[in-house]
Amino acid sequence: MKGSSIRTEKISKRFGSFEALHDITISINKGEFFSLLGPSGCGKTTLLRIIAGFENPTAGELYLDDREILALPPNKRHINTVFQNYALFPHLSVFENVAFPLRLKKTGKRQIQTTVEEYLDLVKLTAETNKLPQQLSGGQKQRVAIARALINQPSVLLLDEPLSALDAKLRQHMLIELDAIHDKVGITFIYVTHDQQEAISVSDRVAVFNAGKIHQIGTPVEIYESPADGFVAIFIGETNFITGTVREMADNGYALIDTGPIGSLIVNADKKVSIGDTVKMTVRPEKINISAEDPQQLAAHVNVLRGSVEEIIYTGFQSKYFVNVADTLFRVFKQHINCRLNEKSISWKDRAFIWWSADDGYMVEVVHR
Amino acid sequence: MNSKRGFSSVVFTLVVLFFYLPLVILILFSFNHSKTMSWGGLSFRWYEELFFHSRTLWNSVFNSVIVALSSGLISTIVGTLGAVGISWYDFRGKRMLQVAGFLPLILPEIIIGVSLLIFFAGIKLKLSLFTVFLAHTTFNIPFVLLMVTARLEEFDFSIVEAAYDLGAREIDALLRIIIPLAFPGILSGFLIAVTLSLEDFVITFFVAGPGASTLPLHVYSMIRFGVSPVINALSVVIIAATAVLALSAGNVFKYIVRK
Ligand SMILES: Nc1ncnc2c1ncn2[C@@H]1O[C@H](COP(=O)(O)OP(=O)(O)OP(=O)(O)O)[C@@H](O)[C@H]1O
Ligand SMILES: [Mg+2]
Repeated sequence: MKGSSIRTEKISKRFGSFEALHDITISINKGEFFSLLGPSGCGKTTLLRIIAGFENPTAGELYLDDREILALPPNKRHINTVFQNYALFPHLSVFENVAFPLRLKKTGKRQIQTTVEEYLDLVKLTAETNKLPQQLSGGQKQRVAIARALINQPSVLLLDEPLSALDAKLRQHMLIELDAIHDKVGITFIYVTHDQQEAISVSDRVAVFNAGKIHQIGTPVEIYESPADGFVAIFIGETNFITGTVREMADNGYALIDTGPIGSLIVNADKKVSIGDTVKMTVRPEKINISAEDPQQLAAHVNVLRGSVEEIIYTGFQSKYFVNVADTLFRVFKQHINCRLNEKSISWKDRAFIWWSADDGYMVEVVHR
Repeated sequence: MNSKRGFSSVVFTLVVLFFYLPLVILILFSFNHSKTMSWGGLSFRWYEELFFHSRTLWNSVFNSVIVALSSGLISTIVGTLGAVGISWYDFRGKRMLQVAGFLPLILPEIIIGVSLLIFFAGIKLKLSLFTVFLAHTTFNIPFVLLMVTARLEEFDFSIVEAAYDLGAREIDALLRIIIPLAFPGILSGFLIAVTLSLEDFVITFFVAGPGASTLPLHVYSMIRFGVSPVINALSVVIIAATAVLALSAGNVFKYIVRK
């Protein structure tokens, strides 16, 4: 791997009395595609600016390959940034924008020519070489910014919401290309986004932020399937929350939860709980089954509830059902694997049965008695 | 044609006449043989006198050009660096410095002139062309500062950060990013400075030493002994020169506006 590892040690940042970052400790591996995910204003850009060297933390340390680098200015860090607004030099052509770092290093003419061409090729921009930034589309600007940031062969590339200005289709496309570029150059990527879809689709690992604090660091599957708390669970995708108290510890690691009007539910005891504890659990909508008829012959440890369908949203590849069970609204997403017209359809105000396996429920928060 | 249109074109014609009739008369009388305001026949005698018998006048033209170019250049350099410093860096007293930089723009010239005179006397600097140069540089800097600051404020600071991020030192960012981007502002600042310096009378009047007369001072001293038709001829030459300059500079202005 050509990249470097990055480690932040208890980094905090205050702007006046406002604490933008609180005790951020992250360890990013060489060559990793690491995402910082969180809602707007949670401090992602601030952390990135500290890593790049544009901002000094109020407290904490920053290591690049085990070397403390907070004292180094931005131009000595071997870290390059793709800015949130691209920050292309408006008076320079695409070629000169990308060549800028090489010109600073007084690289030879022929060397500049071949290297710039190589990087323009990498980002598929060879046709726009002589255009000015204002003549480019959003996606093209972003590619120039990436080529320019990569040409110095940094050990870490910081990307601050590079796709946020693009439309949904182009974003998908650029995301795939970014991933391909990451595989090709093999350096460490730190990718900032507030779009959970983006973060979990390309990252090796993701750090979920809110209000200057880290809520969870993990692989996309970990943060999706076993969110550390309610914030992560809801931020990373739609979900259902059910709160109740532990009534009984069943055999082989299941707990029976008394949820009041909904009834007793069985759930995998992911966390240490004992009778009387209050538990908040989550079930992802796509893990819940729905049908108009009573499901027969279910395996053990399955929760079955009966409710009425309040609303149905058909989105093409799936339908979203909102099912009212004792005044709690459950979201249920059903994929249309077969042509929807062939299924016995469920319609509004119908009675419906929903069910999910105890293993698909997850305890996000526990308050011990 | 309706009457409203007719009325406005009458007003327009009157305004144009008001502006340009004096110029036309001036041009006409520069070819007048007589020394008085009565027509004495077509003649080039005032041009002859202007070009062949007006050493001191040409001396003052030369002084004016020297002062205009040098003070224009120095005030452009100082004003540009000042604008860059104030725009890109954060420091204590930044706001105050900014206000202090623009204040001379609204200060009456006579106050600037008197204060400079007192200042030069105080530091025992003998009045000469050099003090004129110093004075012009002083009152030109705020104009350059204004033009360049306005230009710099259009740009996002993140491009300077991007330059640092890509390995630039401050001097690289200044020479390769900031100056090229601000160049239209710098150029218009320079042109304004040169123009203001060429036409300044009040401040120059206070700080010019003996033998350091500029063109406006010289013309004024000539007029004190009655309007000499040589001045008419000189005016025509200046109008012609300005017209030629303006036409050839048209491209420069187009460049400034387009950028
Ligand atoms: N220079 C500053 N002075 C004061 N407060 C600041 C400054 N920079 C950032 N902040 C505050 O710090 C918080 C975090 O800002 P930051 O730009 O890091 O958010 P972000 O997570 O990148 O948001 P977004 O997704 O909208 O870009 C915000 O509340 C912001 O108002
Ligand atoms: Mg941001």
